Amino acid sequence: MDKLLNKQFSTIIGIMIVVAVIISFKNSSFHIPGNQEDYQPTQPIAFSHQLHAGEMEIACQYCHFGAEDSKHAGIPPANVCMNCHKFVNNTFNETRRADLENRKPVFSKEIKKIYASLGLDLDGIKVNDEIPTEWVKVHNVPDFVFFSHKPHITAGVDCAKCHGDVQTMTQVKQVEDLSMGWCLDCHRQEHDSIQSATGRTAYLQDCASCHY
Amino acid sequence: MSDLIKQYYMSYEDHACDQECSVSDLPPAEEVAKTSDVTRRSFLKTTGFSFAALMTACSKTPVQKAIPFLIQPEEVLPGKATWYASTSFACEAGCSVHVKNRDGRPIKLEGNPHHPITQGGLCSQCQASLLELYDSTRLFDPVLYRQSSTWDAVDSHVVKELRKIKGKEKEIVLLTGTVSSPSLNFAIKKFKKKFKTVSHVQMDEISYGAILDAHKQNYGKRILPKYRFDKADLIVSIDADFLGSWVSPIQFTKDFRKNRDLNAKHISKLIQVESRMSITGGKADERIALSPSEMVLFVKDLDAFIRGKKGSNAKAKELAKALKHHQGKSLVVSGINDINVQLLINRINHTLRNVGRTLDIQKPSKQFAGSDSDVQSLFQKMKNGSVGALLVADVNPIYALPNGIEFGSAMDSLDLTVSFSDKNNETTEHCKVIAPQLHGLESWNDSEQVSGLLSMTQPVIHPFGKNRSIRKSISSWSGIQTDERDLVRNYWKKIFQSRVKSGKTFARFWNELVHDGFAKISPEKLNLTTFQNRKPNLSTSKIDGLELVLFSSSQLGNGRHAENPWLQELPDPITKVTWDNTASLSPKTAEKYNLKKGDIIQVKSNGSSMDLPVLLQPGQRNNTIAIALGYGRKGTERFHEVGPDWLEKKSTVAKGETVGTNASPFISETNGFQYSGMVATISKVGESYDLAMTQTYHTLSNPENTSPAIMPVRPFVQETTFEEYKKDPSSGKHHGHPVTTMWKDDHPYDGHHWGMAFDLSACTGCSSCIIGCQVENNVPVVGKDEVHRKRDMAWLRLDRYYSGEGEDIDVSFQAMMCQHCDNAPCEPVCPVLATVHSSEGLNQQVYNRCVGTRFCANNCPYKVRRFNWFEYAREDVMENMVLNPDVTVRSRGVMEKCSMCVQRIQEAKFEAKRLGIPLKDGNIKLACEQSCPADAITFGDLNDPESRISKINKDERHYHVLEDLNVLPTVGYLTQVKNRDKSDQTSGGHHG
Repeated sequence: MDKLLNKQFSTIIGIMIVVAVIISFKNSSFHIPGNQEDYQPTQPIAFSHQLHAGEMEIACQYCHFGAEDSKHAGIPPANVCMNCHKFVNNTFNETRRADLENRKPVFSKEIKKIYASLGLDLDGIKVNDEIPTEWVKVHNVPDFVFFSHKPHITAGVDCAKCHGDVQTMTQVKQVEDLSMGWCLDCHRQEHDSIQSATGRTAYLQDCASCHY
Repeated sequence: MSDLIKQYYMSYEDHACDQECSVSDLPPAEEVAKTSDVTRRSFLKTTGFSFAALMTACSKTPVQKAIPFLIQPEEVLPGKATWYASTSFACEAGCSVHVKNRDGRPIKLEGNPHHPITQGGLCSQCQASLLELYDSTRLFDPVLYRQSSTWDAVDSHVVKELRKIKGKEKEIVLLTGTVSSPSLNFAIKKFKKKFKTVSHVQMDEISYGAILDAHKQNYGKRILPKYRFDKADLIVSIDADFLGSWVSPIQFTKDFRKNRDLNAKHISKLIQVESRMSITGGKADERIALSPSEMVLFVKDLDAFIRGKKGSNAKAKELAKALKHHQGKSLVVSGINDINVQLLINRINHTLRNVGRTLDIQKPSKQFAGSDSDVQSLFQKMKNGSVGALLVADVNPIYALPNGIEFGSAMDSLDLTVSFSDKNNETTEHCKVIAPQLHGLESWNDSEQVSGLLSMTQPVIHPFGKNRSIRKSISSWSGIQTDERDLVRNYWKKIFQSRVKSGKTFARFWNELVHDGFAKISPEKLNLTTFQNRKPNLSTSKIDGLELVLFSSSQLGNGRHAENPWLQELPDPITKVTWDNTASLSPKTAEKYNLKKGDIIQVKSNGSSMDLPVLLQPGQRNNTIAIALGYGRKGTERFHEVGPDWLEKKSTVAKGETVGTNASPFISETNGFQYSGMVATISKVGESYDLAMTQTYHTLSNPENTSPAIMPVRPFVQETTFEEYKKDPSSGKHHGHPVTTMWKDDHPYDGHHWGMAFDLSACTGCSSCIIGCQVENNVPVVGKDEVHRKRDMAWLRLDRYYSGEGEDIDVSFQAMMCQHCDNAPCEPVCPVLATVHSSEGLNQQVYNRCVGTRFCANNCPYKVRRFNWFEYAREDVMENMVLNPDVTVRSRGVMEKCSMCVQRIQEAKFEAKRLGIPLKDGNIKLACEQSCPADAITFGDLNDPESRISKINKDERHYHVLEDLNVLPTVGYLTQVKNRDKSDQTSGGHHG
C-alpha cells in the first residue's frame, strides 16, 4: 500500500514539475532551439527604422529594392544611403541650433560611419579604402527552408505581416517566431492570387513549396 | 516477338555465371563480419564523437552577418541569377556556353542553344570544369625558381633571358595546344617580331595530326574538315568515337540526332568499326569488332572495293556496296592517327563524292591543329642544344608524350623554361618560371573553332589571384602594356573592316558579340588544290599476339581534368568504373590467359610496363587490351583524403599515389603518335583489386526463382528496328499486365502535373546529364571506397544494358532517376511522412522530417533513393562557392533523391507570376534535360494537351519501366529504335 501511494505521489510530483517547466518556458524569453522570436541584436550603425520608415515615411522598397525580384530583400548598399546622406548629415534639431548659434552643424556620429565605410572624409572626398559594414541579420530561417521575398511581394503580402511594425522600432526586433506553423497560418488560407489569370500556380501547402 | 526473349544484362560476370552465383545485392558474409568488428579504440572514438555531437546540438544559434555591397553594380541583385554568354575552355571543341552567375560567382554552365555549331547541350567535362575555378590548389602568384614571386620580377627575368637567348641565336619555342584564338595568334606574331628566333609549335595531347597531314597531301593545306553528320545517311566510323570523345562530340551528337528523326522517311545508319567498346559503338546500328591491325586491312579493302578493285574482306565488300549506294550522302571517318589510313579515308570520301556534301573542307574546323612531326623535331632540337627557351601553354608534354621523362630532362638543360599553367603539374616541375594563366571564367578570350564563326569569352568573376592570360604575358614581354580586355578588343577593332561584313559599327558589333557569345565573320580564304591522289604506304603485317588500344575516355579525356573529383567519380559510360583506369579484355581473351575481373596484370609494350586491374568487356575484339589515357596524373594524390572520414574508411588512393595509371608511355612514335595497334604482352601479377563500379548494385532485375510467371525477365529496355517501327510504331513494346491497385484515384492534379520522358533511341550514354544533375543539386562526391560499398550519391544514374553474345554486343542506355510515381511505394512506408506527394504530381522528399529509417529506399522498385550515411559537406570556403544556394546541402542521416529540379519549377512559377503571364511549355528546363546534347530528355506539364510531354506520352513508343507494378510513374521511356535496314546491303548475318 505504501508503495502504491509512493508511486502515485511521485507521479503527481512529476506532472507538476513538467507543468512548471512548461509554464516557466512560456513566460521566459527562453525559446526552443531555432526560435529567435524577440531577437534584437545591436547593429554596427544605430540605424532607426522609426525615423526613416516612420517619421520620414520612406517606402520599404526604396531601400530594400531586392524584394520585388529576388529571393533577398537585401540590405541597402551604402550608395543608397548616400542618396540622402550626401546632403543630410545631422538631425533637424542640430541644424536649427547650429543656425541659431551661427556655427557649422556637428556631423552625426552614425552617419560618419557610412562615410567611413565608403572611405570618404566628411567632405565626400575619397581618402581611405572601403570597408563594408557587417550588419547582423535579424530574421533567419533554417538552411532547409527556401524562402523568397519575390512571390510574397507579387502576392501583395504586406511587409509588416512578417516583420511587424518596423516603422515604430528604433532597433529592429523579430516579432514573429517564423516557425513553420506560423507560415502555415497564412499558407492555409485561400488567397486571390493563387487562382489568377495565369492559372493555378501555387499550392501553398505542398512540402516542396519551401523545402528542397 | 524475338525482342521479348532477348536478354539484357548489366555485367558480364552476372550474365556468365550459373545459378550458384546468382545476382545479389548483399555483400559477402565475411565482409559483413569484418564490418561488425568493434575494437576498444573504435568504441571510445565512437562514444567520444557521440558526446561531441550532443554538445554541438545544444549550442546557441550562431549570429549571422549580412554584408551588403557598398556600391551595388546595376545588373547585380543579390539572390537573383545573372546569365552571361561565354565559350567553354574545358577542351578544344570550344562549345558556346551560358554561365549562371549568382551573387558574383558562377555556379553552373549550360550549353548555348542559339550557337549554330554546338547548338546547346554540354559535355560532362565542360560542366564539371566549373569546379576547377574554385580549386584552392591553383597558383595565384607567379613563380620564379620555385619561389612565389611578383610579375615585375618575373617579367624582367624572362625578358632578360629571352634577349640573351636571342643574342646567342638560339631558338625560343612556344609550345602550346591548338591556338584557335585570332587575337592570341596576333600576340604571338608580335612576340615573334620582338624576339626574332621564336617558333610556335602546336601540340594536341590526343593528336589528330594524321588527318591534318593527309589533307595537306591531298588538298595542299593542313585542315581538319567540318564533318556534317546531319547530312549523312550512312556513317561509317572506323575507330572514331565521335559521340564520346572524338574532335567535337557535342556538336556531332546534335548533328547526328538531326538525321535520326523517326517521323522521317529515312533515318541515318551508323556502322562502327572498332576494337574496344565505345559509346559510339554502343549507339551504332551495326558494329564490327576488329583489332587495330585488322582494321587497317579493312580500310584498305574498303578503299579497293569502292574504287572497283579487288580485296579479300567480304564485310568490306558489302560495306563498299552500301556506301556506293549512298554516294554523296555517306560519310567515312576514322580516328586512327596514321597518315596512311587517313589518306585512304580521304580517297574514299573523295571517290564517294562526299567532299562538299557531308564534309566541308572550304570552311574547316580549327579545333585541332597540332603536328606530331613538329613536336618530335622539337624534342630532337632540344636534345642537340639548338633550343634556348621553351614556353609551354595549355599542354602537359611530360605527362602526355610517350617519352615524357626524357623530354623533362631535355627541358632541364634549357636556359629558360616557362609554364603558363595555373596548377602544378608534371611539366611545371621542370620549369624555371611559372606565369600562371587565368581560369577560362576569369578571362577575356576569343576563338574561331570553325572557320567563319567567332566565339567570345568574357570574365564572369573577378580573378581570385594575380594571374594573367598568356596573351597578356607574352604581350608584356614584347613590350605591349594593354589590359586584358583591350588585348582582345583592339585586335578586333583593327581587323573589323576586313573580316566583318555587317554594316554595323564596331561598338555595336562588339557589344553584340559579348552579349550573344558568338558572331558570324567572313571566313579566311583557303587556297585548296583539287584532290591530289597519294599512294599510302601501309604496313599490312598481321599481328598474332595481343594488341594495345589506347583511348581517351569521355569523362577524363586527355587528363587535363584529372584533379576534378566530379569527373573521377563519374562512372565510365560503358564500363561503369569510377576512380580508375583498367586493362579491358574480352571475356574470351581473359579466359585464354586465365584472368578474371580485378586481377592485376602487368602490361608490357613499347619498352614500358605497368600494372593494371583487369576488366572483362563484352563486345571487345578478342586479343586486344584497351586502356584509357588521362589517368595517373600528378596532383591526383590529393584524393587520398576524399570521402567521409570514419572508422573503417579506406582511402581512394594510397598516400602519394595517383588515381589510375598513366598509359602515355605506351604511345608508339612510328609515323606520328600511334594510339593503337602496339604489340603487347601480359602477365598476371597476382593481386586482386577492388574496382569501384556503380552497376554491380541498384539493379532492377529480379532473381529468376522469385519472378512472377507473367514476367520472367523484366523488360526495362524495349527495343525495335526502324523497319518494324515503320510497320507498327508500337513494335517491340512489352504490354504490361498491371496488378490491381489498393489506391483510390482520389488525388486529382488540377493545376500542373509534371512529367518527364526519356528517349532510349536518342540517348548516346555520354553521361553529361549526371554531372548536370550533380552541379545543380549539390550532390556530394563520396570517394572510391564508398562507391565500392554501394553508397554513391548520384540522383540520376545511367543504366547500361548489354544484349547479345561474344563480340556481337548491343548496348542500351537508360537514365534512371526518381520516377515520381503517382502510386509511390516509398510514401506509405515512411513512418514520419518525410516523403509525400505534392499537388503537382511530384514525389517530395522533406529532409528536415526524415529520420533515416531507409524504409522508402527498400521499398523503391527503381532503386533511386540515396541515403546520407555521412556528413559529406566539408568546410572548404573556396570549393563550397560552387554550391547552388537554392538547394539544401543535406546533412547526415537523411534520404535524398531526384526532386525533378523543383527549385527550377518554383523559380519559373515565381517569374511567370510576377510578369502576370502563364507558364509556357519549355519555360522550365531541368538540369539533365538542359545538358543533354541528344535531346533525349523532355520535361513538361502533362495537364497541358499542347505540351511536348503530353504529345510524347501519347506516342506509340511510350512505356513505363516495371509497368506491371502499377505504381504509375510520371517518368516514361520511349522504345529504342535501331536502323537494321538491310535493303541496300546484304551484310552477313550480323546481329540477331
